[in-house]
Amino acid sequence: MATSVHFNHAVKTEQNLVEDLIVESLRMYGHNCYYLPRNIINENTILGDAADSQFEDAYEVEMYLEGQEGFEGEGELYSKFGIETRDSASFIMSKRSWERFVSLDANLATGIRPNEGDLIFFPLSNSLFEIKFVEHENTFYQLGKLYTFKMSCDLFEYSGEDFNTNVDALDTGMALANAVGLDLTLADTPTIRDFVVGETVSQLVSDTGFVISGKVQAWNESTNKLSIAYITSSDTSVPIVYDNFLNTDTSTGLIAMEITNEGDRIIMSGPSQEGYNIAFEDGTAGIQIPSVITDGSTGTDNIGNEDGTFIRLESNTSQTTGTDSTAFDHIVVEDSLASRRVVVSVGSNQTISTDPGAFNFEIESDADGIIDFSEGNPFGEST
Amino acid sequence: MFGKHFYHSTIKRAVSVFGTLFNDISIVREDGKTIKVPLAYGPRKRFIARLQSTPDPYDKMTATTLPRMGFEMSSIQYDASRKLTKKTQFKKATASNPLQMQHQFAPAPYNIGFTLSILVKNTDDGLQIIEQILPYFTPDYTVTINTVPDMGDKRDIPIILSSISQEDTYEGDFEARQVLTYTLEFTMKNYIYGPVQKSEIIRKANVRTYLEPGTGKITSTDTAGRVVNQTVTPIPSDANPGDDVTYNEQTEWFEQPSITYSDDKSSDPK
Repeated sequence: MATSVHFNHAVKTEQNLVEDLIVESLRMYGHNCYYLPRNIINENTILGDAADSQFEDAYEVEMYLEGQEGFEGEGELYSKFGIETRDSASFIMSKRSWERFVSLDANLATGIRPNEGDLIFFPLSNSLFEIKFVEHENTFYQLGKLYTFKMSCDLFEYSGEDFNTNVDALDTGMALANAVGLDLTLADTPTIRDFVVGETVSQLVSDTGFVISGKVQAWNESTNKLSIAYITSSDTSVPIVYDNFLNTDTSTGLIAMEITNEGDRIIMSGPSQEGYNIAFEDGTAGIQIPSVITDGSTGTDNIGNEDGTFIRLESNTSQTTGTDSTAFDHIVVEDSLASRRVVVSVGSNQTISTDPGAFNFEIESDADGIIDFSEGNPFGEST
Repeated sequence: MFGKHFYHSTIKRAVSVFGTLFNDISIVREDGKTIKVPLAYGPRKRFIARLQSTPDPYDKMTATTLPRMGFEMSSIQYDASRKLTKKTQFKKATASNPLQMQHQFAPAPYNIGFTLSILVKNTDDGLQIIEQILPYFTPDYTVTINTVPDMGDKRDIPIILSSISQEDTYEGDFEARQVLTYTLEFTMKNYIYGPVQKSEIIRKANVRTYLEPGTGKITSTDTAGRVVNQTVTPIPSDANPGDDVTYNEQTEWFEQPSITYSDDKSSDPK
């Protein structure tokens, strides 16, 4: 026998009212979170891996965090792999917000519902969660309709995924902060401005013209320790000779300088200099330029063209941001720029400074005094 | 009963030696990204680990960073098959005082078990790590270790890969945590050393030969016939280790004992 035709719960107007109330409740009691769709780059269809995932978009959506007394899960655990934080959480997002703000993203495997494997950034606790399972029937067909998604999440296990979301906490806090870095100890030159996380630095190998570049991962002003990640070299010889930053006092006379690729601009420091831009053709800069020239007032901040001519940047220039930019295809920074620093020592490439649970360098240092490397044939008699 | 304190850090050094085999492993992703695999000795003081890994609890964005490796010492077991005679002594002049000799009895052979655990997020990451380890172990890889620096002793120490296991908790409900680990068991055939004892330099060797009727050991040097007394001394007599020396060998002959020698005349006094 069919249900009574006189009592139909699925009334469209009532459903809309309930949905309005739910969405309003989520906006009142929820939190602003970022939904990050996963872009699978090189899916391994045999092993079922998505190691090269990228997260390129972040949609700010209101979500309700279940369990107001804190995250669920086992919390912080200590295992043979070090400290692991096994927080878990359940986020509730309205179906309407999903459809309006996220569902059309091109990287989604399906736009019908949130995708397992996508990430949720919870700014309140600066936590990044990975969606493990999406329950689409949470609050089971109220008035004959579903209004929310319940996403069961675990704290994200980072494994080299790329972040380019324009959310600074994610882009610099995740990918750059977790990249393999190299520690440089620089000369104490307090008059020179500090490095900024995310900017590019490079080192010119003076005898060869090769340029070693990398991104600032961390900068400690008190210890003059600079951590650099994403190190690249213009040396294309095989085998490569200059693949890493070196001490300044070596025979090659190396000099380090602060530079930036960001927007291919020079940003002048000091009063009346901020915002001074010089743009040049994208991707054609052979040598990069300083992001800030701290001695601008002394008049040494010259920029030379390839043909040997120089452009003098006057501090009282009338040029303004974006309007008086001058195009060049190649800009060389004069050696006299005060933004250069001397590299006193280069850390070991065994040091993983971004991972406090890594002791690769310490283990090797200790073992170096124990293992006899003079033994050329470890399978023969010891000598 | 043993009393005398000594400590050569043999086992502690074995831990470092084992760890350094795996401290430079990286994985390379298809997009060209290189990731160095962090390594740590697993059993650490919890409070130290907590303070080191989470100095700022408000900045704990992720659960952990993968892949990573941990290792620990799992067993110490006597290896009777490598037993050396107890009386074997190793001698060396003291570095600070060449007139002072040091000696040490033969070490005791012990197998030290190690477990290397690999935690990865992707199967291919784990396979890359495994493939960078396995070819070196057939099933052993031998390193030469400076065992006791004071004695200048070096030993070839084989490290044997005895087992490899993989665990992937891919089955189950979606909310359960999926963990992919590889566990490699190793045996390091090491030695553990006793105390280093001091002794004077021997500059005079005195050897006497006795004969006595009958068979077996000489019962008494008082009744046995003394045949030869040989004394060897260096020239100069106060020679130190490393000096160029010649030897002064003095041989004294005594009366023939009234006994019948064996047919083997090679040791007969003349």
